[in-house]
Amino acid sequence: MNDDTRLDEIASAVLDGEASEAERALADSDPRVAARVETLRRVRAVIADVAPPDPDQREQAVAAALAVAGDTGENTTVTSLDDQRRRRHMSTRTLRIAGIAAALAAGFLVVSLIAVLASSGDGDEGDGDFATGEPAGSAAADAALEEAEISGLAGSDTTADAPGRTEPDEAMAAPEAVAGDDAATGDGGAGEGSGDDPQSDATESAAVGPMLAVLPDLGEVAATDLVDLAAPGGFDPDGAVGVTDEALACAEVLTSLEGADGARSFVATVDDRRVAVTPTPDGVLVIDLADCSVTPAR
Amino acid sequence: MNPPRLTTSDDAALVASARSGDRAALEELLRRHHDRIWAICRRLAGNDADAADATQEALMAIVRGLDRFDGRARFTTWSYRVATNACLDEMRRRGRRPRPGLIDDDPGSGSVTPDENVDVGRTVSASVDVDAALRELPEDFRVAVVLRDLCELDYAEIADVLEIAPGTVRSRIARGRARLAEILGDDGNQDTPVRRPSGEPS
Repeated sequence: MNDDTRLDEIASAVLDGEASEAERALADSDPRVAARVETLRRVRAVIADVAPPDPDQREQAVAAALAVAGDTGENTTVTSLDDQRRRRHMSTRTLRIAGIAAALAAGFLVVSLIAVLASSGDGDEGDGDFATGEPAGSAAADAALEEAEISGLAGSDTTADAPGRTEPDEAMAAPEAVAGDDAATGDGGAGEGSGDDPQSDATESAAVGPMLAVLPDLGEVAATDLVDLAAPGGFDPDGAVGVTDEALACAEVLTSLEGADGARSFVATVDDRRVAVTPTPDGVLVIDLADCSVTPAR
Repeated sequence: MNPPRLTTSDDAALVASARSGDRAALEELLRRHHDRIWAICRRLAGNDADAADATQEALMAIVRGLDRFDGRARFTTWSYRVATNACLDEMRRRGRRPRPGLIDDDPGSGSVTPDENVDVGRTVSASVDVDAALRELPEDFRVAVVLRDLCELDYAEIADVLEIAPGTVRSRIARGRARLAEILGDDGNQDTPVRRPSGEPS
């Protein structure tokens, strides 16, 4: 440490009231230290002088936090705008699946009715029902699908490309597989024939949201430490630097990882890359949040 | 701007009520800390637009993590930690795409050698110069200085927030301030004009 650096450190500590007795004595006796204290005091004043926020911006920020808290009725499940977009995306997929199930059920009902009527031997009546039954059944199926799709949801283009859309079991199981302890009550089967159930959205969100939205951020860690950190007791969630919803960018990938343990997942910076890390039965996986690529931890 | 000082006892009561589901308490808690968190984000982000987004993310992160606040530290300390991380996360996210920041749009900003420094005090507002000066600091120094000079946390609290040793905090603040004084052209003479930031800290 050269003289200037030492002088700055003493002056800075004196300014903050954090200097030792000897350092304070030096500041009192050395005019260079005293002058430097005044210089740093001016710097401090400049840094502390921040223009107040726009009142509208304040209201918007507070309202956004409160609104999301109000959506769930819990303080701990607030989500960001990205999270809300992700939730809409996931809900759309769930409701589409439910809509398809409803359409299939309606079709089955129509076929059953046709079979019953055909076996009754009443040709005219049977024909009449046959003539109107199928279209009616299709209309019912379409209506069910449409109702499921338009329940306040948009973005069908995005959903059409969503992985797992045609695999209801996978789509339903994935959130449950990665949900943490807090989400243990989330029912992965929320979409089973309940596409028009207003609870299904909330239930799915409960299963998916907390794990993805509240991953602790462990900051910079070495790549060689990832396996240990992801092990049981590898890190203290309460002692983590903070929480982040960065992982939402790769929610699709995270929810597709079989058996991922949300309670032991975290976000970190490894070799200047932001990554999500999650343990699975097949080993610890590292998801690069820049491109969502998945690689095994070293 | 000097946001009003907040009392620990009020915070503790509000946190307890908010955690038990009292929405009014939660709102009061957010409102009374908003301006300070805004100030942190404003200084870390360097412009109003990014600061507004970062502040909103920070408030959400605070609400999201409220149940994990164990009361061992002051709520302000804990909330500054959450806010600082939320703001830095937001900045890192934005760092992956073009930024509309004031400084980045300025050709030559950050690449001017000391000899090329020019007096821009009459053409660039002081606030922009402070933003530019802060941006020239390494993030570790910038955060430490902001937490000290804006939030008035003591070294031990900053050490707790940043999870580093108090001695490291002391060093970062001193070096950060010294570098800022150099960048801002304050060599001890209050009449010295504000100068454009130059290269990286030595």
